[in-house]
Amino acid sequence: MSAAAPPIRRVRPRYQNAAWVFLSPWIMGAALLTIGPMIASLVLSFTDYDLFGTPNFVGIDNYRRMFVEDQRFWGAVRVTLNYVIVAVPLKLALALGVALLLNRPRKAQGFYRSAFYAPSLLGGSVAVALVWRTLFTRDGTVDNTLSLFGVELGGWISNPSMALYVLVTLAIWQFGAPMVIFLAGLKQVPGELYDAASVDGAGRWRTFWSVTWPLLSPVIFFNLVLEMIGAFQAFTGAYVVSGGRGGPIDSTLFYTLYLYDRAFTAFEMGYASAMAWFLLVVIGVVTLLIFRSSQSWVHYAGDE
Amino acid sequence: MIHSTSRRALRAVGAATTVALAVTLASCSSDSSGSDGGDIELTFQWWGNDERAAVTEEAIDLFEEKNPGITVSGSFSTIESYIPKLATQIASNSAPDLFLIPMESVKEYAEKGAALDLTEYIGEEISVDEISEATQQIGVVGGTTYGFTLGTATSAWLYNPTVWEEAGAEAPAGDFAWEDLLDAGEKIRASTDGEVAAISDPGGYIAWFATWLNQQGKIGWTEDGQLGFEASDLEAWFELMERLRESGATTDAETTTTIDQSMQNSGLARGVSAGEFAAASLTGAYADTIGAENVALAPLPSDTDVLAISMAGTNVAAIAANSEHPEETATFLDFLINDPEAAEILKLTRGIPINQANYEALMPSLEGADKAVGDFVTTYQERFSEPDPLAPPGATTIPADFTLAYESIIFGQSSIEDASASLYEKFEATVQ
Repeated sequence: MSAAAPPIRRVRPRYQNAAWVFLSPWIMGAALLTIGPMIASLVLSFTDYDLFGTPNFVGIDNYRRMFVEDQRFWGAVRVTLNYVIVAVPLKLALALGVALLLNRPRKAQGFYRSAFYAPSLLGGSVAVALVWRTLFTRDGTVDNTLSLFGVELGGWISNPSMALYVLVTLAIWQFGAPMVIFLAGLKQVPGELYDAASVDGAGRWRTFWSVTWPLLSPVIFFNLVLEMIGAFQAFTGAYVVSGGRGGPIDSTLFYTLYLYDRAFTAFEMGYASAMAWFLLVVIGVVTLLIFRSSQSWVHYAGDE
Repeated sequence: MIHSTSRRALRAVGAATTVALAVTLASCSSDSSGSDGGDIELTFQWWGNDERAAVTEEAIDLFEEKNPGITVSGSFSTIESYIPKLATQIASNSAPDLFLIPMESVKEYAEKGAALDLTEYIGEEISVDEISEATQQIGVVGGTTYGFTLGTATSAWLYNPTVWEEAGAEAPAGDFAWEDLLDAGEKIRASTDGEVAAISDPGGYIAWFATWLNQQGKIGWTEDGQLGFEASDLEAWFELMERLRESGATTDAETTTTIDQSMQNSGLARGVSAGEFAAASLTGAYADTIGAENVALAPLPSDTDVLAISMAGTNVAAIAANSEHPEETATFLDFLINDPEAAEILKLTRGIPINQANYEALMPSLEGADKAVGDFVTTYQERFSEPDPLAPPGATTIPADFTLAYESIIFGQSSIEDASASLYEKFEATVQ
């Protein structure tokens, strides 16, 4: 170590002005298109803004109505939670499973990767949701195919107990994106660890839990957070499949769909803004919980 | 030296950014005042299907021919996406110059100042000589004219005479009672292997409930904005619907949820029912889809001798309150209402033309579905009633609430008493 290091002087970066200029479009966008509207939304959530007239301050009326009086609100919360709890783990499990299968060198591996990834490129679109709706209507393609095998399940999207699971299926079908990320993560697991494990006599399952899972955990964590945030905000599928109404007896009334309904059908913009901020808080809290929990199950390489 | 290079680079970047911003801002500025001096562009928005769009575009072309210097760009969508789109446009001050307002929102939009007061244009750009007083009232809110309907229509029972004949059931005419549906339903189910119901389930739609109320001398909302019925009326309606549903006369729960208000997804168009209640102005659209020989009109069933059919507006065409070209838009509106050639083109796509002279000139030459509508009006004209007063402003969400309550009944999620009680509470909230 040097005996007397010269004091560190803060040198003004030479290109700082240029940096600001280059950043300015993005900063303007963030301020005007994101932060500004968010603040406006927060303010509006305390008013009775109805899109036409001037907003009047109503205090916490909207929030009180949301939590205490509105039955449909809690229905929407239940439906959304149901969706998140079912769709996200299944989607990630499928993504991980297929990634493990595709990890071994095999013929046409590139083709399979692309084929599985393709749905997630199109999946969130209105067009695919329309196709899904057509497939799952009563006496539609799925019904007819199943009845060939003698399985008569009746309607799908017109059945209050099944409609939500049609949407879950639509979500799971888009497993390609997390799968590709898992594949990348799997490639980073050092081969020697697998060799060591097999030398120690570990079976497939044991290898998975003791080698793959811990080393993959940062990727799993990343996918989990991303998918969970996306699932809470799911809208397009529900809107198109249920025709904008939230499906038979609100069984597909996602939180965002109810928000849209309040905002643009009932013109209750203040109420919808309150709903939006509650959603933000909930997603924030859940994300925070996942981050906290990550300390116990996510292992970053180089931590030891 | 690095200094001078970086300063030059900074100046260059600064200049480029300024130019880019200036160009973007310039191209963003509204050019509705006309790019080649004098050409006025109006925007017109409506809802409907493709066939209605085709004839509307034809009428627009004719208007542009007769009025060089004005171009009209039209756009349309289905009724479901129309309302949110219009609301957003009005809120952002980019409302189309001329737009149609659905009947249940007319009071709301007028009172919120979205529509222009047309008083100064009546007698000038807009002629009302051939329009009856009653029809003019359709666009009047609080004594001021905010718009004109582009056509009047009654509600009617659109049914498929072919299916009724094959089932050996007597086709509906003016003396069909609600209970007669049970018998007709049995016959139709029998002759179609149980696939087709007599009518699509009307229970979830407030319009048919209102008709049934009128048949008994009651009313939805009275002239002074009070409720004209009780929760027990809701119960009676739902119970009647239950009898019809359980006997198979109406579509079952799952089929009913797949039916929305659009013609394409309706029971009659898809062949799962032999008829349904709809606006008579849709007859043309049905005929285009399933063939004119498979569409006929009858009044709704009634247990009294009141048919409760009235000529109501199918929409109200209004001019945006902040339109930049109100006079030209008024001229265009007048064209749509009064021009005889336009009437020839549009025929009955939005209902009966409100210009009496045009309608009378049109009548003899009507064909197919339009003729069926004309004949229906002529046959039952004497038994028409006055239309109900407009719903109060808070009632925009009631139709959706009504459907939701009905869905919870037909799927067994709530009893008729409970659903009626909570639905009635929602009705009461609109008159407070």
